[in-house]
Amino acid sequence: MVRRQPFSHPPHIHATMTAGTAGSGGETRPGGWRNLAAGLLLVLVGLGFLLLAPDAYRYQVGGAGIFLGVFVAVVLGPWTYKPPAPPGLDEHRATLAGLATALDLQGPAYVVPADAPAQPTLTEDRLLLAGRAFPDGKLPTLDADTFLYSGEIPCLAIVPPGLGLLDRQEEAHGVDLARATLAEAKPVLEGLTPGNRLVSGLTVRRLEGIVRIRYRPKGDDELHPLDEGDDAALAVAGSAVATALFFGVARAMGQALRVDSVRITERGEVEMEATPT
Amino acid sequence: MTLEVDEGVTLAVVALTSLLLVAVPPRSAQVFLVLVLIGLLVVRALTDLYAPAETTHGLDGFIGLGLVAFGVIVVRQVFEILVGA
Repeated sequence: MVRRQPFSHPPHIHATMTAGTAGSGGETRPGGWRNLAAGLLLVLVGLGFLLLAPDAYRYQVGGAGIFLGVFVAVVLGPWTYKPPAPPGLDEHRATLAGLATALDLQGPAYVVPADAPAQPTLTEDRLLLAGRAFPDGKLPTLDADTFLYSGEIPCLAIVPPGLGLLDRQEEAHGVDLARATLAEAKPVLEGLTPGNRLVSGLTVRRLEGIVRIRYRPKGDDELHPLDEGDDAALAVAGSAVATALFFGVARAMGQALRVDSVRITERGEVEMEATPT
Repeated sequence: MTLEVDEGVTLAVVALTSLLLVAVPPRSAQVFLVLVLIGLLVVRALTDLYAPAETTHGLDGFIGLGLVAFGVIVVRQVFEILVGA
């Protein structure tokens, strides 16, 4: 029996929703003007070489100077502003990184929270870890087509509670993750051992208000055989992770997220996008 | 001090260009340009998943310019060969 639940946001996320996003104003990058000045200086030096240096080197050295000057100015100039890290960013980044480690994920997790709740609970993280909840390391595939095209959040459809590792850890530590703070939940998370290696190559990005999660589910012949191009199987294997990460990002941002799209890239990655609501 | 991804990309490009300046013999501007272009393509491919969108777009712009310059070099070489023949 596959359970379905509506996509709902915990109260603490709603309570801390903020209008706009950090860094959306006209602020400049710290050190950006210095970088721009350095770039312009390099351009001037390059021009000097181009005009005055001996023939043998003028084009190479001059061209290199101009190229590097423009490059520094474009990539590190004041217009490439990134908002400073608000309080709590490190904690949330560490939380996501820790969860990713628990699932054998590789790659960085970039999160830019606006207003992070001081004591978030792990209700949403339960979804992230749910991929481990099956003792044999397999996720059910019977309802893949249904949830892929139902428009619901896929993860919620494939997480029956009380089946496996996560519940045993909760029992062993006497912690209810649904109501635990991060500090209380830490020993439980640390107690999770590497498992079925369903997902690798994870990235979490926030681009102009859109949160994008991209990851590549692994086709493990022994535990979870995947055929090349088997979109439904790929999505089943990884959707729990991505959806749960969306909850984590939403919590870190202090904003609720609406999942807008789920697609499989040509390289076999699952890419999900969400926007703050 | 933590190095951001875009700063790392810039550092890599600066180091690569400096190395090529030393390694490429004089009067070889075309070779130098092509090698820098290849380096940019490598950096772009390696940092695709990690670099911020702004940095990726910036790299794309330089790669586009480099490809145009590369096209000009190729056309010139072909023209010279044809004229020489």
